[in-house]
Amino acid sequence: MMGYAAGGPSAGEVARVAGVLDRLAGQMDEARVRLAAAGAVEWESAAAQAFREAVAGQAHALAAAADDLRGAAGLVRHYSLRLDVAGAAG
Amino acid sequence: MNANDVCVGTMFTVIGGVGSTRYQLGVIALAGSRIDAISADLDPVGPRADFEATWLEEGTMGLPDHPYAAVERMREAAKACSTARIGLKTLADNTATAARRYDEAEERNRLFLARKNQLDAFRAGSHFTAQSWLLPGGPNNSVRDLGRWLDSFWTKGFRDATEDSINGGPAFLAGAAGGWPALAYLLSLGRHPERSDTAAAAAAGVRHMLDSTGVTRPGTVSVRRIPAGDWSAQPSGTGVRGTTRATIEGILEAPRDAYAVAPSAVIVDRIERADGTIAWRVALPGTEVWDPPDSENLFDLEGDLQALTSARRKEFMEKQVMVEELLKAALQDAGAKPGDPVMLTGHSGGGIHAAAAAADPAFLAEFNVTMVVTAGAPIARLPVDGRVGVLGLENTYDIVTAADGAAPPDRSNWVTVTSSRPGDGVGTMQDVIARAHSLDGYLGDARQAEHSADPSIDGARKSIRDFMGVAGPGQAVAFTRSVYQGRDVRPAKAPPAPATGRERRDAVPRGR
Repeated sequence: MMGYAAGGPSAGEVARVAGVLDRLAGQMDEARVRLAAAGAVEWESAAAQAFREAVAGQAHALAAAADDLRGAAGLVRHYSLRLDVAGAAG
Repeated sequence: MNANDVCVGTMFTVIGGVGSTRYQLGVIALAGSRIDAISADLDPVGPRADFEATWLEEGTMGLPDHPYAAVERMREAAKACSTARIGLKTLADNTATAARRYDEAEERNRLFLARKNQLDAFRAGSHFTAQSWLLPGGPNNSVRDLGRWLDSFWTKGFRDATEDSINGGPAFLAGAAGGWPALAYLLSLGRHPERSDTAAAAAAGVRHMLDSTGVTRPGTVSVRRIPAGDWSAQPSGTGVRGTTRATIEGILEAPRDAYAVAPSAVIVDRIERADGTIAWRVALPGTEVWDPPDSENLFDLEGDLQALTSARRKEFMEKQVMVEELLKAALQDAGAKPGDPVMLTGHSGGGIHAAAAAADPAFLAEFNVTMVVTAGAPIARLPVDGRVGVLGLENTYDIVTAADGAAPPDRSNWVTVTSSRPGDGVGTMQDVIARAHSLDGYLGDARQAEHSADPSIDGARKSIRDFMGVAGPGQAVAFTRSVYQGRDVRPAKAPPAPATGRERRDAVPRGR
């Protein structure tokens, strides 16, 4: 685990965390695209309908998780800016 | 069974191929494995988000400006990621196991039906004997039973009725015998519910009998390339140029030619594809000699039995499948290179040989067989490699196709098209059988099948076009044709030790 100074992490270190969260959100988006491709099978039946609904449900869960990550990244980035401002003021 | 498809009076029943449930389940299983891979790739996402949240939380602990909201949101996001990954994993597992569950259900149904059919046959045999001897008027009832059995050939079609008879024969006889044989049969049925490979066992039994009586003897295969002048209007040279069409009918015209060029001969067509690559079509005739069973002609009864028991060849005096040796020598001499796509096509016994070669790992190690096209051939039990596409044409009244004693396999790579033609069952039994099995009849079916909308037939047509290297249906393709004749050379006296490996006398050069 990356360490931090006695006064807490620097603004740059916190900004790095925001970057990691954005990257993870990107991975979730990519997974959603791959899931859509994997689920696009030529299959017509009641079971196929259930499969498509399940794929759609999972795609929604992936999108929601990506949104959560981006939302978290935004909050972390905002905190980083606060640290930056506080550092400049202090 | 996929569907029934009607084309200008001829009805097609199609099993296997891209329109089959099996194919769809394969696609679904593939989707499952892809989803599984996505799930695996997301494995570290949730833990990583959680890790960063912990880092931030611990690093800012005790500070007046603590990022509570950010850390809480990070924890929620981490949990959402892990939940989504688990959901994907569950979906992948459920999807991937659908094919397996279907297979298991199919296997249970198949075993149940096989046992039921055998018990029905056993009961019929038992009933037949009881009526014949024990009841007043019994013989008349037995004649009536026989009449019903014969009627079933006309109502069900000769192919299916014969398959039922082949598979139910031992059960019927055991039931008719009664007493200990009947009891022994019932006990064996309990141990081996699946006893339906009677046909393969019969072929092996006949081979053993012919071996032991000296009717069949091991020999060597002699192969020669027939000069073009001997089989075509071209006065000299070895190869004759021609064109064919990238259709099912176009493919099956080659086995028709194979009957005509010379006895015991196969045709090798070097297909020049539009992109400059080369593919090979090898056409085989059907059985040309029935008596004697072991003749100089490789396409005799011995040859058929060799192909039908190809996987068990080491059990017999003749260890090789002679037609397969002819195919190898012909392809090598014609210039086929490893990796060149090869199509094997044959009618009747020729179809058996084509499928048997495509089921032989040693043959497949030498040649890249990508497709087998047969007409009127009993090939259902031959374990053709899963990478080889198979298109088999059958007819409901073609008794020859029942010789495998099995229904066509339901596989994504294997399409069986069974035709029911107008007037199929009209005429004497001999006429009906001859008409149903004739290659001309199958060429007519192939012509009709070009207009079929069935997805599996369409898939087969596309495979043929891909093999021929053309984009559009029915396009002409140029080829150079060579003809090779094989001869079964038998020792003059009593057979020495069984031959091993490939032995030829005046064989064509084997070098590439």
